[in-house]
Amino acid sequence: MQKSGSAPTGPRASRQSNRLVASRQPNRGGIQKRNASAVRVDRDGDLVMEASTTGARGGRAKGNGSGAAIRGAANISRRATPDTGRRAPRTGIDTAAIQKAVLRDMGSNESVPKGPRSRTHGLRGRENTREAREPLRTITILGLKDSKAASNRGGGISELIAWLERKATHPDASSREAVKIKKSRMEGDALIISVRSEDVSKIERLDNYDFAGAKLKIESEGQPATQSETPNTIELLKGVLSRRYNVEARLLDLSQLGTDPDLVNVGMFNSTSRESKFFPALMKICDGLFKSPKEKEDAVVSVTLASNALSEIASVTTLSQTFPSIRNLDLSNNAFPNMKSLEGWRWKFRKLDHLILSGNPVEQTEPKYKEELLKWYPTLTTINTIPVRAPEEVATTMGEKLPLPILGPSFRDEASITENFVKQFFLGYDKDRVALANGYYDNKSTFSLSINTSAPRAPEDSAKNQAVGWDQYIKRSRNLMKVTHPPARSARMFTGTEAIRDCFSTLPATRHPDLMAEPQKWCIECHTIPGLPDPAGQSLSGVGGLMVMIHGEFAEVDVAADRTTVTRSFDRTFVLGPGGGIGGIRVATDTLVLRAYGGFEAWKPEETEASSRGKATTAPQQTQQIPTPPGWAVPGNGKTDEQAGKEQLALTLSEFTGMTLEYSAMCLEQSDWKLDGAAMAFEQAKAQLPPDAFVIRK
Amino acid sequence: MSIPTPTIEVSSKVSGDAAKLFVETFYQSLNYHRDRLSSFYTPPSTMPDGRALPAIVWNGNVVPDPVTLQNLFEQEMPKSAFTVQNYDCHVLNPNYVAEGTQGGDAISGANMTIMIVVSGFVKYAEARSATQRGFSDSFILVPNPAAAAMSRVQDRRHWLVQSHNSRLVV
Repeated sequence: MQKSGSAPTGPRASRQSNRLVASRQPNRGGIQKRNASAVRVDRDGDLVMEASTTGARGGRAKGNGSGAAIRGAANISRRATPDTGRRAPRTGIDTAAIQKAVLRDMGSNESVPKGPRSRTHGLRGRENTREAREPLRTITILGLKDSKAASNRGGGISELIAWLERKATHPDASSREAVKIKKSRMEGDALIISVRSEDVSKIERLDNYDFAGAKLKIESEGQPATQSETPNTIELLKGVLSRRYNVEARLLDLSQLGTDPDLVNVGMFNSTSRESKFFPALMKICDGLFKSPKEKEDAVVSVTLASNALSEIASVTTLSQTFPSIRNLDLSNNAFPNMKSLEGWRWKFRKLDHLILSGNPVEQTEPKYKEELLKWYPTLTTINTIPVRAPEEVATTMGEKLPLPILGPSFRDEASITENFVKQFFLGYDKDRVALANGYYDNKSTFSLSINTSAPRAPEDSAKNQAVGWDQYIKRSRNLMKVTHPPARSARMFTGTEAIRDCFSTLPATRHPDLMAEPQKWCIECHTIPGLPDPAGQSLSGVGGLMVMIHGEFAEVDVAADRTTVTRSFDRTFVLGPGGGIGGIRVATDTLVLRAYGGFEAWKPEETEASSRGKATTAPQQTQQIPTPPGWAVPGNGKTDEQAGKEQLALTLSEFTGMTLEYSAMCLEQSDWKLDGAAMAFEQAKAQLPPDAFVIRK
Repeated sequence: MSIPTPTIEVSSKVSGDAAKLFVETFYQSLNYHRDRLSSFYTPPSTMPDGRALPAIVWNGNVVPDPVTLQNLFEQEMPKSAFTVQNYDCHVLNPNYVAEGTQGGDAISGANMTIMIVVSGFVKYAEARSATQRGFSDSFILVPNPAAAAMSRVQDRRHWLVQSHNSRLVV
């Protein structure tokens, strides 16, 4: 249902959105010539959206505003012909009750925060952390194009720079104090310069000065958009918001921003620096409109960012801060290449019910993106207008599973250090602890063990295990809950190779499961850390290392009788750093926690939604049990991945429609193997379908 | 040059006290004051290898930042009762001064980084009410350079979590 019809309307619109893409490419620096004419747009061709939100479909989205609101919006954007007769006035201030409703709140000036310091902080957020180290500040100078100097060779850039330096420098200043422009480049019509931070105000003073017959406009980068924009611009943005807010549908329509005449007319997208400030400024204004998060949540249930040529979320990421609780989000007809481009929103929008991603390359590049989305958003019930999970299932999911699902190990190793270490270590621990201690520990290494004597047990734990106590360990246990005496604590901390070796040798002999043969019995995780002591004693901020967490089990061995006596579970955390041991590393710290046998089910990854859906019995009215031939949707035996993928699609369609696999396949075939297209075709055709098209008549 | 470090007695006492306070308050917050959760962690930053700090890994989920973790607990996690049964701590670095900060009095142990391991069980409300699940947590705490400047004593945390790995193990 995405595809041709839903592309941005008209040739100008698409050109405009291409510009947006171009300006978001990473290579944004450097001198670029921008064609000013590309900025102009047809004023008639692109106001479809705003009319739509007040149009007939708006009425469908009532109640909690789910689904229909966004769907309505998305559909309307497909109507290529402009609806000029119903278009809202461009100023956006008068008429229409919707606008009044919004403007009532917008009238309060409190929405514009005061105090430049705090605002700078808030708006720029963490994206500019690098600037803290970068002493230079950038300033945007507009107006060169209109000056007489523009016709000079080189476009008057060097003249403007010389003029700025001269004018900004105090006549009495020494040469050291003279204002120097350190770097400069052209961006569109804007000259972007970099100066020392103490020179910023001197340059700023030149705002509105005449340069070769043109008035200069000077914006320093350090200021937030809302402040550097004139009050008119704030009013303009408010107008844009009110025009794009549908109070009935509780929908904020931010689609096709690149062709919004109000924004284009003021040159909002003329320079990358201005463009990058635009969306955060818009969100900031939104934030100011509501007295409480609750009020905001009630007022805006759906947001569409459709048709903005977005290939990453960086420029719009503030949406998730301003509207964290929206139910419906439309990202259709953008340029998101893969799931990674959306990852920044992985943990945001925690109440999302419906997400539209149709018309994005990710559909092709990651056929399983819907499965991934279901994992990301536990409350999601609908993707691209297609139900993907019954609300009851959401409730069950939320009740039984934790929102942070049990995943496989997070193993973020560095140069296979952890991998090699773990393989060696437990072999050595079982076979030759003396060599092990000598090989990995040095005179600063520390080791301790502690026993959780009352840890929960696995249900399958044997009576034999339970009969064995902790006698051989308890005197060394450094459980700080119980061992509170300072001398006892110190005595149970083993520091240096020798002490660690001696301690190891008094502990019962062990046998750990084979890492390769029984990987399920192990959970090994690691990540890099900073700040370990520098063995060379040079850096106080330390050197990098690895933190390694291992959960598993071992059997104790009665060596004399050559038999295992008891199986215990353990949690062992190492910190590894560079050193003189095996493989150029050392164990900085080693903490071993022993506990009763707890099995290995706890870290078994949870089933994915897709694989568990077959078992779900909670929502028969939504999905159906479809009998499948053996091997259906499984590649192999001469079946290609593509074929298996098609079979999976057919199965999914059958589950939702109740059609037989054959009919689903036919329907998909006609829809170019697009699930949402096929679902729509089904909706249109279902009345005419013969009874034998269905496994179960709906 | 020899780097000043606290004596064994001092480092053992200071790390033990820090671990005790941390374990008592952190799990209390998980259970009852989730709005304070993010305050236990260092402010977000990036390591030289590009990975995010603090490192937070929860049952294999890499959580991007402390605020996200707090939001998850505040908004989605069922009520929980974490019970600590066992904890232990080591001094990892006796004198760690982060880039761009002053550091405190090394001899007093103010610059130590501390590794803490915790073992216990948790009961989640709702469907899991009946089951006790074992958990294992590993933390690295680093000195909080901003602690002294905090006006409210109860906000003053002398150590903040820079690494946290949590796993259900039973």
